[in-house]
Amino acid sequence: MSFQLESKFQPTGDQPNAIKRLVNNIEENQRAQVLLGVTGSGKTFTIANVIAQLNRPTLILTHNKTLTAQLYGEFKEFFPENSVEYFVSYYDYYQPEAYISSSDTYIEKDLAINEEVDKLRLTRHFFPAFGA
Amino acid sequence: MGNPEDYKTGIIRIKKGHVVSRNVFLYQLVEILYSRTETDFKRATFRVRGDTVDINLPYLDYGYRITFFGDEIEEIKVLDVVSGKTLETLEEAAIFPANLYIAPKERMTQILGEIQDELHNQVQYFEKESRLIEAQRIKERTAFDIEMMKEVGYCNGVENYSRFFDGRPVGTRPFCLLDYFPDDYLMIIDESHVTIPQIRGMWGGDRARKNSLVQYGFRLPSAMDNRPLNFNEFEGLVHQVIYVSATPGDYELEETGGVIVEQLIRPTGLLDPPIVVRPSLNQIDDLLEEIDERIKNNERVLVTTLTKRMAEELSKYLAKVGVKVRYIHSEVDTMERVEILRDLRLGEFDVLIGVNLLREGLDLPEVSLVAILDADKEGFLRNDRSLTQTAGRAARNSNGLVIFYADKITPSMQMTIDETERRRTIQMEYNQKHGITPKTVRKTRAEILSKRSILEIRGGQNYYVEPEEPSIAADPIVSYMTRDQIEKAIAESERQMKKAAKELDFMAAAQFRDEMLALKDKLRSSV
Repeated sequence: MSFQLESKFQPTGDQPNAIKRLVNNIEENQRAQVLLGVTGSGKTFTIANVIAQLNRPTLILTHNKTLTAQLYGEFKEFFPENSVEYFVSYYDYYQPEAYISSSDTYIEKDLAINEEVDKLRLTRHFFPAFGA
Repeated sequence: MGNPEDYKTGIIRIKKGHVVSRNVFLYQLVEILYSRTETDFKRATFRVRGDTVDINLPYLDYGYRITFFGDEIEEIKVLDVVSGKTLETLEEAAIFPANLYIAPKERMTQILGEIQDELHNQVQYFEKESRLIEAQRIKERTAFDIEMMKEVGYCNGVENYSRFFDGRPVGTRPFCLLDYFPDDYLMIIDESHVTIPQIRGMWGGDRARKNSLVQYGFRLPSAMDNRPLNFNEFEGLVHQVIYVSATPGDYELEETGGVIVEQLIRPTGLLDPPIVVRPSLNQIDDLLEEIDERIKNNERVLVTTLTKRMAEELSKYLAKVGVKVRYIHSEVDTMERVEILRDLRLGEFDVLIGVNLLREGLDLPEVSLVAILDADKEGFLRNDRSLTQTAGRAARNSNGLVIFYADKITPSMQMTIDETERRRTIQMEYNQKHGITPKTVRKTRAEILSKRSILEIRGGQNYYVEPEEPSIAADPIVSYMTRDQIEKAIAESERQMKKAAKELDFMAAAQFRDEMLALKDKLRSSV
């Protein structure tokens, strides 16, 4: 498996330097580091370059589904030849099972599985370690 | 999620020319949770017609058609499940389990026995406590699940039995996505200042909910072991990580020991917007003047207020004097939000008012002014991270300006102003050296309208929502309240806190708690 970054842009501004430093730090086994990027500085592009250079399976975590969908789209465009996959909660509208004793209400788990999300979640490409 | 080992061993690999009888193959499909169908050929099912087996794969847009000749696989073709047409021919293929929860057949009997044992203990426990309703409830519910698992291999809420399926000791964490990665994987945490607190909060919320389910006989105690990772466990699974944020949190800064890679230059050459501080006296007249100027230039304005009430009042007032204004708050649902933001970009209205405009992902090139009212009231939405994030909403426009309306300069304001100055200096030097003139990237009407599709996979209720309203203790009105009124407000906050906690809305409960404590402080200082 090797990552092939496709973009008509070259890193500009302080992106080249940021990419170099992030990659070096990882290679020198720095466990944790911060990329402090201002809005509009092309953080996603920088990260895509880091991934391409390091060539390791990568997990990108974020905090809501809208952002996940956005990032998924961007990374798929950067890496059209690689497996870019998407993993979010099974449930489009996820109401977990609960019991509220004060009002004696049992709320059943809401099972509205979003078909699109489900498909993406179970995708075979997600497991590059399997060599599928 | 299930055990990665079981998932891996559940994969069926087939090859043209392979010797396997059709019936053995069908049996394998059933084991990895595909079901046979004659009529409704939906996802995760297969149908059999003589020597041909069609499989509808749940994880892809297509399926496979496998043709047998005797006990040999003669042909593997890609199948368009909608039209029923075959596409290309394959030499080999892999069929993955239809469900991430896959129970190895030979272990199922043992698993069900263990569940049975736990059920027995739990029923005894309830009976000893004379809680017969709970005893009856857990007996019925579990027996039903066991029956389902025996018959079809899984049941509704099967994940609650994950400890047995995975063969884990009591109290240990379930398998999760991170277990599926190799040891040297790289983790990127985007918007880490929000994502990290969210990860931190997952365990506690889940635990409180499960506790109540177990206590009232809806679930067996083992369901507690089907849970999110606690933060220590999460940390233990991180190999190497890059936190990405414009305003990293304390945790990230500490964790990295100061290894921070900065990226302050925008390819467009745009600078961080300058910040000016203006007195609150006559702030609305001043704001109106600024708004008029932006409207003339076909630009938009964001205004953040401290409370919902102030947002309402201000939008009413601005509307009265003829400004096209809208107001956004926490009760506006996602779809409506998308529309409001789009209308703002299109210029259907010019000014958007809200308490917390951060979570909207409001990076609109049309916005050239961000006005922050009561910028000097320290608190959640006026700390340096929030101020920096809010100010950043004007960073996509070359005329961007941020106004802090305030009567004093708080440490948070000072930090934000200093940091902005530092960034602007670096950005200006870069532009000068490379002869760059900052340019706003304007979008056409069509481009803005097409933007909607990105939001089609919308979030549900379960993602992190930053508290909309800061405590009423920060509301300027509180300064005019009498002791008696404050005491009443404290009682009210406490009541709402307890109510929210009972309803398992911990986010709201914490907010009311903070409010109550802040009011108590106020009361003490007013003595």
